Amino acid sequence: MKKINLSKLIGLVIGLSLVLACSAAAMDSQDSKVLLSDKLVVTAAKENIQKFTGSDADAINGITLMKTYVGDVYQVTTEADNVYNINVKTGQVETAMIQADPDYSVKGKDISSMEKVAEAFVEKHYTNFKDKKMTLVASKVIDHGGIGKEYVYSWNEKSGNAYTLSFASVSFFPDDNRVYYHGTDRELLVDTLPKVSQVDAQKTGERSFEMGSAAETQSRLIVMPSGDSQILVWMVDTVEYDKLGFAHGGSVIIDAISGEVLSTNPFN
Amino acid sequence: MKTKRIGILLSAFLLAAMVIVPGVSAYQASSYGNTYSNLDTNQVASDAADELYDMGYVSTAHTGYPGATAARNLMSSDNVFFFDGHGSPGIIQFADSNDAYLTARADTGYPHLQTSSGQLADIVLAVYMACNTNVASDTYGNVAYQSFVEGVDMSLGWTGTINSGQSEYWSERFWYWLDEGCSVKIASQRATSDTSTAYGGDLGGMGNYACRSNGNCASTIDPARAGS
Repeated sequence: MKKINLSKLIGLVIGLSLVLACSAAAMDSQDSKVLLSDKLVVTAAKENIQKFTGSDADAINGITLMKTYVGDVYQVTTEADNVYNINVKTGQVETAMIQADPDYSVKGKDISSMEKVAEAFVEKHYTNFKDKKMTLVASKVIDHGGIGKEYVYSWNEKSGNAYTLSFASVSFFPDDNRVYYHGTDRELLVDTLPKVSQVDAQKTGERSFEMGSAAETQSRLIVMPSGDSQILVWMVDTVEYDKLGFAHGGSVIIDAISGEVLSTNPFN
Repeated sequence: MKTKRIGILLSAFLLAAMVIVPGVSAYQASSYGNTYSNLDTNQVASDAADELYDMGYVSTAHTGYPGATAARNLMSSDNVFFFDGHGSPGIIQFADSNDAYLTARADTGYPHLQTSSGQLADIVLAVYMACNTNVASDTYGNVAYQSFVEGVDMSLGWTGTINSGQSEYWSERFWYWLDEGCSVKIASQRATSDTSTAYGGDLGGMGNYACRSNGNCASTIDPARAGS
């Protein structure tokens, strides 16, 4: 029987273990991390953040390319614990979770007295806010228990009865003086007159989930992205409860021109 | 000489084992996915279990048709508990049709969270990702709240209905941020922000999360640990 060289065996074992460890690490990584040595991306990210905040960007400690259903974004995390999502196509900061300026402090203010502060914040960060027909669609307080309260304000552009892809939302977290912003500004590319009526869309939505007679159904006419184009749809939300209180139903997206069901999204 | 060679060989194997196995943990995490007629949450539970493994937990994804009784029994030795499935005020529903319901309150005829001894004190984080798990029922109680009363350090539930598409994405991001070393509070906020980005502002109810705890849910769960 041929003798195995001990040093070769040790080398083989260590080598194999390193290969396995590296493969496992690579398989674990679901994100596409951008190397901070990629100066082009880092410089562009800093410039876009600077444009958004109006001041020097704090030190970047990570950039990840995220693929989402509505397009790719660079997610930038900074030393000051801020997070910015930058639209890869437009270069605009569309989402930001950041430390709030003292101007936007929530301390001692209620939901209604914060509305003007929220509007001022959005006007500063959403370039075309005043030029668009933005309607306030939500103003509410969410109690996150041990995570604290959140004051939420949302605006959406309307064209006829349809909500377009241009919207802005700002949340204040008074307990840790942080603010969350989400705004998208998109040119309207489709006609917003539906061929399918709201009543018919709701009936279709209810059929999709085989709802009973106790179903409560609501719907909104909205514009959605569809590749590089857009599509007019009815977003139908339908729900009914069984005797134990379980919600049955969910959301259905229906093409507002053809009446075709594009997707269903059931409740947990 | 022979002894020395064996020593070198053992050292090499030990080194290899240290590289391959990130750490031997005594901390246990259970993630429950379910197969219902209209919803399958198994992949979400498996992905969460993978992230928990990366954090150093002995992590198991219980998928397919798990039952409420076995899950409740195992909870007493869990350090992290994650459930993705159907919920209602005071109840979560497992996929085993003969053993489906776990209620918050006792005396409901079903397995329940409520005890007289704080049996869940070893759990640092419990996430009940289902509709209305932070809503109280007169009969069945409140899942997130009862879990906290039984000793769970941080207990997450939802006020209102949640949609499965958004919840799947939220979960992926939430466990990712925890694995990055964020606190439960920051991970919840960032997962919600990411879901808003991915779904064009439509959170599908995921923004209505609530954390029940003695403090402010600002603790981390990475590296693996038990409840305090």
